[in-house]
Amino acid sequence: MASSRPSRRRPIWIGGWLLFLLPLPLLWAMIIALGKGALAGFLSSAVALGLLLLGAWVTRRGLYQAKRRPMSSSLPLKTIGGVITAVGTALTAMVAGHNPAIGICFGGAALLGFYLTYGFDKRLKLSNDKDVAAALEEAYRKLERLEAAGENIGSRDFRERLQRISAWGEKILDRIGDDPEDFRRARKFLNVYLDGAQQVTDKFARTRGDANSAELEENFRTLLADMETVCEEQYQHLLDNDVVDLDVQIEVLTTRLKREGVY
Amino acid sequence: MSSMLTKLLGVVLLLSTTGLASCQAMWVKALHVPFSFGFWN
Repeated sequence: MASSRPSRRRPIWIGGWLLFLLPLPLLWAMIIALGKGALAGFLSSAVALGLLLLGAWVTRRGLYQAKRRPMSSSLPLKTIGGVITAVGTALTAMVAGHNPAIGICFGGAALLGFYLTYGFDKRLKLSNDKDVAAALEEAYRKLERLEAAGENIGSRDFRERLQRISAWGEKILDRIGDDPEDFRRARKFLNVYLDGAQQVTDKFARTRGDANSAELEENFRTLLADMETVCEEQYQHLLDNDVVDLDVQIEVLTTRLKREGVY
Repeated sequence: MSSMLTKLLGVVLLLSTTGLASCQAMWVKALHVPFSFGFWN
């Protein structure tokens, strides 16, 4: 069993905002230089500030992209944001009076700090395996649709269960992103489980509007509990490199879904 | 735990490079004197 239950709501890491806060003293430097009529000082501060804010903005876009479309073939925004931040830091150090060599050291250290805080884009590792990248991107979309389907359900208990299922799904996809070799073993999960979970949730949301029966709710609750367990065990099997048990479990869940009329 | 420590180290590095350079630039522009931090210069 996996040791910890994931939370769907990830903490907002201060770094997302940190990169916007760090260059703010440059704004004051610009105002002072402008007040003193020092055009060169004003322009150099403005360029350094502009670069750092651009780096922060690109990084935020990259962080969002990494969460929602981690394998997308679009630009590696997080990495680009890190490079812009490093260049901006080097320029800022030179604006502060350091020689270019020290400025480059500032930039290099900032890039290391950026990497430790945010990392670079995962897709660089997967550039040779486009099939896996495309399948993962589709799987992340399915998770989004599952969450959207859950929003249509009034019961807080069900919504929370679906959020936990979605969080496990995200953990599994993240794991495959880190180690694409896991994709083969998780193929059934991606093809059967995610679709099934979304369809049964949609079906429940629709049916519940017509007939609010206790039996239907109980069936759905049990099914969600089973799904959560399967997801949790799927993750553990990925960690253990265990193929056979996993396929058997997915077959059992498929049978359940068929009984519920999803397949 | 080690992941948090890594992130913390990253934040400290960003503070002591990007943050420090910005503050130094403001200092230099405001006072027109080189930044002096005891051991730093």
